[in-house]
Amino acid sequence: MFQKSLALFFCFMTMAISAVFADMAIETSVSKSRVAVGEELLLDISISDAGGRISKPMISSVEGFSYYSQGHSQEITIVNGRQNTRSVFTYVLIANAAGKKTIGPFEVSVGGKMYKIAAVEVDVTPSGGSGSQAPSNASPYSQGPVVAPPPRALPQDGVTNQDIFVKAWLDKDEVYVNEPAILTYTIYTRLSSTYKGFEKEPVTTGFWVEDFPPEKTIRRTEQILNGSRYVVADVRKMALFPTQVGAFTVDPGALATTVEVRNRDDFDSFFSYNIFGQRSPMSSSFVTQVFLKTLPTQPVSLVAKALPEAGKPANFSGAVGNYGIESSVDKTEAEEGTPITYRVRISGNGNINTVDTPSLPKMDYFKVYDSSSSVHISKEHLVVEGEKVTETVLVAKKAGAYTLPPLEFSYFDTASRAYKTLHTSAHRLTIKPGTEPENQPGSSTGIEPATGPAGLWPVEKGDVGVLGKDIRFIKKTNEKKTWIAQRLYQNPLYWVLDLLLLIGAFVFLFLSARKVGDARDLRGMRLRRSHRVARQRLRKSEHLLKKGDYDGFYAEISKALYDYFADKLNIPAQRVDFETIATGLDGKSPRPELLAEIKALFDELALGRFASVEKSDEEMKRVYGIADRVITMFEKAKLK
Amino acid sequence: MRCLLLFLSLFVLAGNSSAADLTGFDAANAKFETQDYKAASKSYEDLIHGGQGSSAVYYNLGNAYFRLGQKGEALASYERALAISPRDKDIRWNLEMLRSVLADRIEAPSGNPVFFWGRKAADYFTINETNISLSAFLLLFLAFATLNFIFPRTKPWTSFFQFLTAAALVACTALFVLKWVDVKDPRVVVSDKEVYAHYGPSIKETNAFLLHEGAEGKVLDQTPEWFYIVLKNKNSGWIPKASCEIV
Repeated sequence: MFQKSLALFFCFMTMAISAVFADMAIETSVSKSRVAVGEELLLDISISDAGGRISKPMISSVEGFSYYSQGHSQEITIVNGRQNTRSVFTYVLIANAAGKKTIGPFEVSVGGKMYKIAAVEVDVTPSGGSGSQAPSNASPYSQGPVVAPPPRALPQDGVTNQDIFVKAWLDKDEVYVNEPAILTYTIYTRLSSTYKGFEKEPVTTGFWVEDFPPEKTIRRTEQILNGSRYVVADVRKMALFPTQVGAFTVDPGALATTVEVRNRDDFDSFFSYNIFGQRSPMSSSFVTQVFLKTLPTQPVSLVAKALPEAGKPANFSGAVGNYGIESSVDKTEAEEGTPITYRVRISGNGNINTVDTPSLPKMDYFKVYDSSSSVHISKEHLVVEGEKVTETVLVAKKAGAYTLPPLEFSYFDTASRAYKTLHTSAHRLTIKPGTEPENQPGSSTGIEPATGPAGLWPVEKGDVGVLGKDIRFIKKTNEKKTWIAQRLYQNPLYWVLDLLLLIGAFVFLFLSARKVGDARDLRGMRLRRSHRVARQRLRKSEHLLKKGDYDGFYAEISKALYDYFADKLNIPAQRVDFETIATGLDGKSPRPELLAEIKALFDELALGRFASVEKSDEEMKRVYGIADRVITMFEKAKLK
Repeated sequence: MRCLLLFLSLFVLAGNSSAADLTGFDAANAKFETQDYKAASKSYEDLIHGGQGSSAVYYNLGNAYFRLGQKGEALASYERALAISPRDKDIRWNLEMLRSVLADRIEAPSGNPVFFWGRKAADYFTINETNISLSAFLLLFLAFATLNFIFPRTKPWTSFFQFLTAAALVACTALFVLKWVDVKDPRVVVSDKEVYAHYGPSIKETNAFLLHEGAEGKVLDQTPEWFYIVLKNKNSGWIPKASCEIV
């Protein structure tokens, strides 16, 4: 019936009532709102975004139902950097009595504060009345009316504790921290009885508790105790995982039962009602009196030992049991900026809920987004086992070949009583350049590009982290520089001076450029200097004339004239003669008197310099006068 | 000659030195160190009013205001300290820290990268430093021109330096222009916890935007009681003079 109910679970309507406390939300839902006596329904209590530690919901009893916990699952999802958590406590409820039943309200402690869990109403039909349910889904025990009459209070002189009692016992007296001990509740009875659930839940402070589902057919045996024959049945089992070291005494609580009192002891009729209150079709239809009977239990003790220090790996995080670990990536080739999902799966026996997944080392070449994890637990064959899958999203910042190193996971193996260390496999990733690369080269810590098939693992270095940021301290030395109210650019004088500097610079630049230009124009320079130089030499010759140096006079005046004509005509002084000068003059306006003077001058100079005749002062003054006139007239003449 | 003396006197004015009141400065520091920030800020302000407003005094005053939670005043003080010592790393760090805790995020639209880096470079100089550099390079340029004129034979090797000087002149001119654009308008820092900017110089005018303590803007216009400011993101509005402090 249980499997059928589970199989149909997804088809059934869900009724949910939720309560929201700030960001936290508590939601209660049942798998169906209409159920027949003897059928099961699932009650989910979902607590989302709890701000603190969530204790197990406090469910003392559910009127009209027997129930057991099917487990606890937790999901963490991160979307756009926002983390959402969801814890779901699942209970299996089996209807015992018809009518409109209210499941709840209950309470749950979150972060030490009590919150109310909303009640859910369920319609329980006498048998096979679940509208959406096929008759074949019903238990064979649910066929026909429930013949058990309503229970009444047990009379004082009625059933004794010898007729029916319960024993709570642990399979071990001593366990390591986080190693499970199985707590079993066994009913011993000599009467026809029905187990009605827990009237007082066990107090399990200091333990992580996982309830095992009741076996489909409770196995019953017979035992002789103190000479009396008892029917014995285990009605509930749970795994207790101590969370700390110490000696614990567990108050197992109290069970509720109904007993049928007849005229004779009829221990054979025990479980003629099944354990959940349904009468077997094979049972007799005696008229009996039914009474309520609460069965208290004796406390049980358990010692939780500390895990051995010898051989404890450095990365041990408290996992106890027997585990395996594996890792995978969804792709080994990707582009820059595209996400790669790195998945780590830890599975095995033990309290998988409290197992910490090892994390990747610091990776400068990847952006690492927070992980999400999911836990799935099964409790078959009195073993708590399951798997925890953690997914981390990696986004490569830079193209290259990288290797994700193996992760190391250590646990304490309860079978061999020793620590074991497992490794995941390494993953090689090839990152191709993307369209929008994020070039943020990191330091040499963490993951580096693989250097080859036998690449070396880099030494993991720790960054010097900044613990906090604040302003820097005051300055102890005062500087001389003070606030400058006057800005230079606001002072016109500054700009005048700058302008003068600029003008001066450009003037000198211009003059320099002109000077250089003049140096390059040799003909122009000779032309411009010719008159000045000739006059200087004429003055010198006049001086020589006054001194009576006749040879010097003729030499100087000859040099003055030859150099003058050479400069004017831009020819060497050796080429200067009358014909050359006449040719050099502009033919359009020849001045015959000038040419005559020049010819006469050249003749006088030749006579004066080379003939051995007496030279009088008058003669030399006349030559000087001709030279002066020639130069003056030649300055006015136009040259070709 | 007279001009030269005047020119030199300008530079002396620009690098105005004053005998700092070390005793008062030390006393103010001692108050700061005993965490009496209010008394310390008062002492630093007295130094400033007494003409001792050095970069260190403004910086320490900014620290005192920061500790007092007066972010607007702290920002104005740091800005003044930075205007005196634009290359001081401590001032820049504290400014960055302070800006990280301001409520308003006012970002300039991304523009030409050349101007962006030019402005970054200009941030490291005072406007007077750019002026002095400009004049110094002009003087150097004139010296090389004179040298070339008098000794034309030196031209082959002085030409290279003359070219470098000319390039430096252009760079200095660009820096000056960028700096001038930055400082020509006075700047204000909001000192009130929050203030509404209006579309006109009156509270009856429509609210334009809300500014929080430490928000900075340039003053484009003013009335006796209001500043017309423009933010880096080009939003503009009128805010009361009493709600802000001129840097």
